[in-house]
Amino acid sequence: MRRFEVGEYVGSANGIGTDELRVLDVDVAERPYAGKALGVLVALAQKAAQRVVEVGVRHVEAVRSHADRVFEEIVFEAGAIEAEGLKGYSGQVLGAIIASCQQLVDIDVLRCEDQIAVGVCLWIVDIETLVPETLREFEQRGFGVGLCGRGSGSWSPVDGRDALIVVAAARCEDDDKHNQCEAVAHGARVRRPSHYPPGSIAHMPVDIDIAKVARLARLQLTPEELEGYGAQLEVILEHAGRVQSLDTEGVVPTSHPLPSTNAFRADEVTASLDHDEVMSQAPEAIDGYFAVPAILEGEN
Amino acid sequence: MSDPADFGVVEAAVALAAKDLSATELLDAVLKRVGAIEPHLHSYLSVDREGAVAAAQSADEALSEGTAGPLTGIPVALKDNMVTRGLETTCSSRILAGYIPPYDGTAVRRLREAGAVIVGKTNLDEFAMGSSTENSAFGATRNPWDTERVPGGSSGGTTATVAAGGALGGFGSDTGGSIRQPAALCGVVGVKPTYGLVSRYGLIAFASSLDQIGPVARSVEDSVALLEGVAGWDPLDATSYRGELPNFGGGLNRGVKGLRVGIVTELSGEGIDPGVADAFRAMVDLLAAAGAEISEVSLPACTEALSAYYLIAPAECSANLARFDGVRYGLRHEGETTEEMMGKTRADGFGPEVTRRILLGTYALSAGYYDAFYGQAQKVRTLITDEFRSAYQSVDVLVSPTSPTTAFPLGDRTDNPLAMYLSDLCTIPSNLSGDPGISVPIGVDDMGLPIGFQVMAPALGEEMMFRFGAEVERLADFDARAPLATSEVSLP
Repeated sequence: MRRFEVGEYVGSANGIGTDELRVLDVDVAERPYAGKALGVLVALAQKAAQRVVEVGVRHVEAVRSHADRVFEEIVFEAGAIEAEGLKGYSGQVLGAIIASCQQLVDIDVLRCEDQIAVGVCLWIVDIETLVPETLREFEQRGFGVGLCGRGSGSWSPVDGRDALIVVAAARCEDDDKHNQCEAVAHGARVRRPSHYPPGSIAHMPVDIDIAKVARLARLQLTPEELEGYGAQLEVILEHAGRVQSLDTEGVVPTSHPLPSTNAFRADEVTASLDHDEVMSQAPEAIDGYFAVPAILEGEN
Repeated sequence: MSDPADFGVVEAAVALAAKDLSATELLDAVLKRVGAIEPHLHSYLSVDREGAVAAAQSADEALSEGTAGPLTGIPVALKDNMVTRGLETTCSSRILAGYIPPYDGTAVRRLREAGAVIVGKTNLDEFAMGSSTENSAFGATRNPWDTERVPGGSSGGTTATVAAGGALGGFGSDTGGSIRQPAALCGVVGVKPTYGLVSRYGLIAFASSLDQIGPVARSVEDSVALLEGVAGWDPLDATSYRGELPNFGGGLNRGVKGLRVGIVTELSGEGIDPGVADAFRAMVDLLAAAGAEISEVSLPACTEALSAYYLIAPAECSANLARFDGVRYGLRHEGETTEEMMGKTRADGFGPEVTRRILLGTYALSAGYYDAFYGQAQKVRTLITDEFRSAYQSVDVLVSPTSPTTAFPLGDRTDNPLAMYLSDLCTIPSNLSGDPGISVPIGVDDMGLPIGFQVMAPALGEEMMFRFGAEVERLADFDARAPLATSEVSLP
């Protein structure tokens, strides 16, 4: 198990990084604060890579459930966190929060009163040239650095739009608290939704493995189509994700618009559709059955 | 006598009963009008002349035998997502091109039994997904008020043809505003009834918890007559409402004196075009002058209604449209395996908007995202519904503009899904809550394009909704006649 140092970011600068995310060797039960940080990271990794990537902890289940809770509590609400509300979090947690929070993209520097954290959000086009330097610069100045965003696949700007790279850096001056936090942020990318001004959205990061989604939906799309739909879905989900900004604690999800109970009919034999008329619409039928290509291997 | 194609539903029924007109003559007038307007509109995907003539002849027999009802002999247009036995039903999709349904949907069956004459099947956004009727595999429908503009959607074929006299009335389906929004843009009346009031059996499903069939007409009174023809419990739709039906027309002509109107702040301010907002306010003032008590009602969760809708509707659509797989009906492309056959068939058969929504819904329902997207959206839905219920404790109806804008130019929003989705800003909340809503035309903007006024009522509150709608109609004194209906039809 590799153990990451404070401030080290995982993943390559080209944004493929989430697959490389390893999480930390920490005992959550003993170090709840680190656990929280870990929770955020696991949750982010889970959302980004669509799976949990190697959770190297002793209480895995505890971490997972904690991650879910933390993810909802912190990341979902990150947009609403004021500078005041950030005080309680240590540097890297904050880094992850800030980085996952687009609410902050319209400010260059967030500086809390007690210098607990500095978040920097940059608009840059070429992460390979700018980000490592930026990160190193912050590291040299003693900040814990997290590079966050989302990623899968290449990150080159789409449709000539700027790519938004959120770099979050955070420093905790309380050494004790700092030491408790051994989390790392992960690297990826964010694309700016063209229809929304910076700062208008707060939500979980949107990561779409569009090829997988298309496969699940039985849509055999070309690579160009996949890329186009993937970009559109991100924009739509950025907007639709706003549902996460509402407090739904204790709210029962709607299952039916009007109160209703089971609707039963009498158990009687009634006429069904005319078999021949129905089968006449089948693209292929054999002996009154719908016909499809062989499903099991070795059959015709 | 004026052209019977311009008759109202009730007006025509009176003329038919009085033998001033035969159903065959009425149909002839409508078919002649269809011939005149269709080159400009493309509102119909198919016109069933043969079936319509036979239905009109049967209607004439019923009229002479004295067995006629209010819809006997009335030519109506049906959105092409309502299945009609023996009559091609496509949902404007390549995947269903050529599909001849082996059964009638319940609403269709009731219309046939009532003696209505089905003129044909009207254009829609593919599988009712869209707000402009441009997402049709068979070409866009145009607005009879300005043929360079969209009729709205997705029931744009029905609203355009009813506005132009291509039928006396018609039916559409409303999942997020697909009847009310195009009705507003075409200057006609459109109604989304309470969820479950009209059977969905035989309505090709888009989003089952939101879909509802409703009438389109040139007057509130006509829309009542059409709704009465199709409403009611149906054992074939487990979600259809089993209780007593509202007295739809019970409040017509009773005015609104002393009744309480709530203006929904979130649906009538930000994002509404100034011309629409002005006309809306002017009508509110008229309602006040007519004795209604006006107040502002804030429904804060409605600001996220659009977001919730664009998770719930695609999620349900992705499940519903799984049935189009090249096995039982419609298009099939060959493949080595069944999965390949399905993948090719669906990729080619569905247009871009449908594909987009299937992908969106599949994503929103997939493991790891369900709670954050679909689950959360259904909770937000509950919040919206609760806000409506609470608001109706203190007002009789809620009102807003129907659409934030009047008809927009063809192609204006096709490259920008989100801008298109915003067309349904004002109509989506009542789909989420299951409540009824009506759009009534109240005038035109400075470009001469119609503006719709929406009246919303609590579930099963159709009597109150129609009562208000009729008063809005009376106060607006709006002649719901599109320029195309009055100019082009004088052609020989």
